[in-house]
Amino acid sequence: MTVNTIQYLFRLGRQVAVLLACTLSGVASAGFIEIPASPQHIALLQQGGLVVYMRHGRTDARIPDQIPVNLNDCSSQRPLTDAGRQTLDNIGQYVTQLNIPYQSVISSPFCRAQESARRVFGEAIQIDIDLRYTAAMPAAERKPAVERTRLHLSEPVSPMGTNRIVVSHGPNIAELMDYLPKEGTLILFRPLGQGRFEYLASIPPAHWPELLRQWQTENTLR
Amino acid sequence: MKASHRLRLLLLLPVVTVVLLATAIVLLSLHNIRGHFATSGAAQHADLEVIARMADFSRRINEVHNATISALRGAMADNLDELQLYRQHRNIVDELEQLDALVQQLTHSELMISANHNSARELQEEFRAYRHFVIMATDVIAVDPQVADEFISQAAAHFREFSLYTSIVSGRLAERSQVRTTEQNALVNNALWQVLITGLLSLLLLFSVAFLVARRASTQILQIADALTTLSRSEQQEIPLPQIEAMQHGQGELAGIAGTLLKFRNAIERQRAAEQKAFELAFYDPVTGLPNRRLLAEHLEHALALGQKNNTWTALLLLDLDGFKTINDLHGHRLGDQLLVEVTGRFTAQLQDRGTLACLGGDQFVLLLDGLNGNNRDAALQARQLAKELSGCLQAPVQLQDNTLYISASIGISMIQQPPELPEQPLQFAEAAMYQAKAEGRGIIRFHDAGIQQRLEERAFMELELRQAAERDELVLYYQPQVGNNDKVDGAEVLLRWQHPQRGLIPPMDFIPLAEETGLIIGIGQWVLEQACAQLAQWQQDPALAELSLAVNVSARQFSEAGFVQQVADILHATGANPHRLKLELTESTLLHNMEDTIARMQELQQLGVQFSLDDFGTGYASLQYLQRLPLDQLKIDRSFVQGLLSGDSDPAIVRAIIAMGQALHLEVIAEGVEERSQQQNLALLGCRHYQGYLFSAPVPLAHFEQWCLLHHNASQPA
Repeated sequence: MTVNTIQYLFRLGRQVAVLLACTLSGVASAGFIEIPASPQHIALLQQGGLVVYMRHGRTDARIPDQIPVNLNDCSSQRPLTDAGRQTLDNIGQYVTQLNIPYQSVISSPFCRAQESARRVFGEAIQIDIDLRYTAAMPAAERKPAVERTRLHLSEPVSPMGTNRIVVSHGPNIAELMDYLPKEGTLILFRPLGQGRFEYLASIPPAHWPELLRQWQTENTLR
Repeated sequence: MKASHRLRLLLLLPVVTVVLLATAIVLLSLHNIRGHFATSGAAQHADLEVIARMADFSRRINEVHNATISALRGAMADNLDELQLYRQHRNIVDELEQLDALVQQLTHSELMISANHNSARELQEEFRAYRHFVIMATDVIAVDPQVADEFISQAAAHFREFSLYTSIVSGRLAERSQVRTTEQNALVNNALWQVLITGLLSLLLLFSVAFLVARRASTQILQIADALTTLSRSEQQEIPLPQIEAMQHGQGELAGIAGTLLKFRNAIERQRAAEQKAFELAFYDPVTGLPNRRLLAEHLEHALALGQKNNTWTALLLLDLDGFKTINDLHGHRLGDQLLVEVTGRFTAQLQDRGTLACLGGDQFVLLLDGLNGNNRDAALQARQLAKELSGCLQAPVQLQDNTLYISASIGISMIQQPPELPEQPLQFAEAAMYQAKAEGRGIIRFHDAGIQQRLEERAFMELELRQAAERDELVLYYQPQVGNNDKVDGAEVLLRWQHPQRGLIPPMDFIPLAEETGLIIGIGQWVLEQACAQLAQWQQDPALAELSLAVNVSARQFSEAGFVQQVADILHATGANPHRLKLELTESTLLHNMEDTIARMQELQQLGVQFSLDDFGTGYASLQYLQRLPLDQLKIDRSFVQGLLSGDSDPAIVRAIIAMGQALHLEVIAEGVEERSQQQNLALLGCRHYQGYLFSAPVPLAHFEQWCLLHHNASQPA
């Protein structure tokens, strides 16, 4: 095999890559529309029976996960930004303020997820190793994490009148639906059992002021 | 198995062997070569696959890199939302994972290991670093494109590094692949050569084996062909075929054919033997093994043709055993046959290939004599001589099975010169003669020709009579005077006469040759000498006759007889005759017979005083040289010259020469046959001094001669 042939194959490969990139971007643009949560959604939450999935807070991209990542060493992991931590603390106040009932808080073993869970939902968290997700995780390892996520989203919540809190990463959701929530976003699901769930609404960090305003307005009117 | 099948197998065997084994070699070689090609092909295929994967890796890593760049651009320009970026990230991660596996495979491939493992390992390390940075980059691309860009820059550095390694490895792979292809080709070529050389050697070996087998077979076939040629050409009774006999006992495939051939040969030999037997039965007598009547007839025909051409005589002798029937009856046929065989043996031994002996069956034998020279009588004498010999060899008795048999044969002879009118005539004549002989008694020989028979009988009778003549005093001596000049009586020549009681006086020429042939001449000659010497002695007592000499003819046979000189001496001594008065007359032929011996005898006799006269001088071949050597006293001019002198038939010069010769040698010369006075006168003129002839007196008895001497003496006596 000559060098010319190899160069030809390189050229061919580049053309195919361009084509592939265009296709990928095209697919992603169709479909899902994020629904901002309304006071009705807060009411539902207060009734219980929903699953609240939260993506960890804002992170510092300059410090990426090491490959391979060490789950016991937070310094090998992408950390939360200080601004992110502030935002999370704020959200924790909002959650308390809204009096959302929950008993169990399930978190990914990553430090940024655990920290996010504690800052928003308090110290009592449960680590679910299967929820872990890394950028370098290959397809074979990714699948159990996605399925674990699906389980948490679809299983009916018990005890009655409480919600299930799951704190993890964005890609877990992206794998289940065409939706990658922003960091620190809370997503409301109604579990339907047998792996099925219903997306209700999202509360991105920036939405909180508006939501609280609407909720207060409604409560005032009542 | 039939011989043709065996032969076909034998001839096909080398060919079939070569073809089968050659096919096996070709198949084995093809299998071997195919194995080599398959191995070589598989190796090349594996190498090509590695190279193809390498190319595939290069292509895909480029795609990944491009996808990363485009994702970054999308993120920078905010064209792509977070989800899209994530999806791209995820795809890139998956692709990189697969590529990692691919790199793993490539670095562990045989070709890569053999090419350059270090480059491959570095390539792998660079790829991992690249992968690391790309994943980190895309992971954060949505969060912070700036950070991602930094990671991508670092990834790009690694990308360049492993791109370099990729091209190096690709180049090395290509080189290595080429080398390996060359090596594989060399291996295949080697294998091909090996197969070719092995094949050629095997074929050579096979060919040699086949050649040897074929040669063995063809040698035997050639021997069989030779044997067949020998069989077809040989005319011998026995046809030896040692090679074929050896082949028959051998183990070869052709042993059966050799056996058949020998049977064929034996059949031919038996046939030849049968033919030989038939021929013998047809042409030979079964008991004696001699030619039979048929073969004799052929011989006779041939002999007669030859005789006519060469003017020679043919004699047919028919011999019949006397009393054979009686012997047969008394002792049986078996003994009779044995006797015939014995007789055949004796005849054959006696004849020593003179003539052809045949047997007509039973006790009748025939002897065919051809090419007999001379006149009828001589030929008949030869035939009779052989007949006598055959009779003679039967004289000894035959001893057979304690029987002593005395046998004899009656022999009939027929003489033939011209081919007879009927071919069976000669045998019939001989048969007739034989029956005639048989009628006359046992052991008799008879000629068929009456004239011959008669002449031979006469001769035999005369011989008998001559033998008796001396005893019966029928031989008498006559005297013819010999006179000198002036008619003086010198003496006389003694001449022998046979006074036959029935036939009267028989002249010497009618019985002397017979006496010489039979040897009777010796006895007769001695008698003549005795008589002559006695007469001389008697004359010596008479003064009137005392001067006379006597000339006695001595035949060659008598003169050459051992003891002749002693005989003469004895007679002279016994009679007391004066040797000087005895004159022995010898002919030229006597002298020429054995000259040295003759001269010695003559000298011995001359010592005794005996005189010698050469008779019939001039008729032989006497030469001066021998005349000089001979102790002669007298030459006698033959009567033919004397008579010719008168008639003018002979030249007086010859007579004069003879006389002159005698004078020169100091020999007395006497002329005989002088019948007339003129002859005497002429001879006297020529120098001759002594005469004998009718002019003076015919040969006369003693009494007349003595009377004539006395009368003549008185008459011639000068008064």
